[in-house]
Amino acid sequence: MRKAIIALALAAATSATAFAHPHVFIDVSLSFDFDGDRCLGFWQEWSFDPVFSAQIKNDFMLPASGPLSRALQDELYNGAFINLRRYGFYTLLRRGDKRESPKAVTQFGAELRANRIVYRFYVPLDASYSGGFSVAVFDTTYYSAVRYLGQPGFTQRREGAATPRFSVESDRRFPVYYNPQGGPQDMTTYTRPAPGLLTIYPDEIVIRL
Amino acid sequence: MKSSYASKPASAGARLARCRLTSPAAALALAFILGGALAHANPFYSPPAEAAAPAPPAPAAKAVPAPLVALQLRFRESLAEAFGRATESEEGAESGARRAALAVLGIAFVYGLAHAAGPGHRKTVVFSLFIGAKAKAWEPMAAGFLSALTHTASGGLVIGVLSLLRGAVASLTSAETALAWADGGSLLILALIAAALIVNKLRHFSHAHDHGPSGAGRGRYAVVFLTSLVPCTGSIMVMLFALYLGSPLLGVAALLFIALGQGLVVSAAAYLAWFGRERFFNAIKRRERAVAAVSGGLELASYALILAFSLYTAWPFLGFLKELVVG
Repeated sequence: MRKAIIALALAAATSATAFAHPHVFIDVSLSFDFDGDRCLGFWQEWSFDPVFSAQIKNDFMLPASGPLSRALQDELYNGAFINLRRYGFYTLLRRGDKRESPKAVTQFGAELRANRIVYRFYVPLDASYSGGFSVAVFDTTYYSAVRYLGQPGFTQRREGAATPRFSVESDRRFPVYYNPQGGPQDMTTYTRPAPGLLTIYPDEIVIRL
Repeated sequence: MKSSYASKPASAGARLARCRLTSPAAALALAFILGGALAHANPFYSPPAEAAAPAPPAPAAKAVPAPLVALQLRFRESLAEAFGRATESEEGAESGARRAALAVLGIAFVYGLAHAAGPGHRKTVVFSLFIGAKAKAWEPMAAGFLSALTHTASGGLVIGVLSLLRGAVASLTSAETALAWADGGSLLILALIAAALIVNKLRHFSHAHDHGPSGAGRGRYAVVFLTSLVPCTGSIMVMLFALYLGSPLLGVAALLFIALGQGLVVSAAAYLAWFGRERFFNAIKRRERAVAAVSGGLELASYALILAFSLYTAWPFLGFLKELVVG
């Protein structure tokens, strides 16, 4: 009995860390843009959950439905998107064991689709993105939970070029690290293990040509 | 082609943030009062051009198992859909609105159950309190529901107060900052209470007898109440959504059903401890001296567990306070 009590107390204590993440849920779909073997970049479309969508609508006084004017989209870009550059736009690119996040994205647009806010933007890639690589859309602060929607799409600009193949994989050789005690002000991206950091293996979209 | 965008004009919150903080105490006080309105915890939202008041670190974040994330999302989507139907049908079909409102309450109840079953919600506190001291059979349930109601109501209250201060529906960001302050503050209060109880127990350890619930009762409920003042994030989410849709009454009703669901789970944790203790002591009741010694030891251990848990969880908050005061 004593063992049972101690075990129960320990179980209760270890499960009691007061966290409440994630706060935002994002459905993500990707579409890659190829010119032969080279990937020029890819489109990301983020569809936010109805509650966060309602918050954005409230905070930015968006209409209940209908198209968003360019001015409103610009306001969303400045007020509720571009700060994500401090988080690498939640985008992790990997070639071999080299991981990086985009410094900038382009062609941002936003729209209302049913009761959701949808962001769409383009991630340009440099010439080194030829052949295979991986993309993960992942928030290491766990503020947002990301879910991939279906298979990625693609366009191939060069006729007769190889068709890319996509798969979702979690490669245990390439973890990312995060600080479980890092609050919302902690925007550090951890690329190496360190005391206090925890390890996670994000689901990556692996592109093979 | 990279888009070019004009910078956003400073918000009212940002204009307030221009106040210069001349002393650590003033900084602390102002940060506490206005922190919710000024800090920018939401990674999507750009901070104002001017320096915002510092915000305490959020409660520790850990990887949440994928099925739990999927479940949370499902609840959120179901609630949003039911809320949407309830508010949209208000003008037209009354029975449709009623059905949708009932669906909101049902989902809120299940949400409360699932939400409280996850980490947090002071289950450790009630568990420790009922493993540590004798109580009547109804007390675990009372403590569980007191905790759930306080926790849920404070979530609704935070949104209400912030919305009144803001003159519009509060933002999730400001609610989160208020939550971080409340969480850190209540953990420190809990640590102080546990330390005081340990000192008190040690002082009277040689005369330790289990006097039953009459002596421990009031203090126990005070601990439960104080430590449950941390606003419930689920309630914040539901209340915000209700206000966004202009349905505050349905929001309050949903909070009550969330509290009902949470109360059942937290009470279950309390009963686990209560039954464990009762069975343990029944098994050894013939050995009264051993019972007294074990009872005292368990009580002390449970207070020590609460103290250690509070300090461990509040550690980042203490670091933040130190930085705020010392600079």
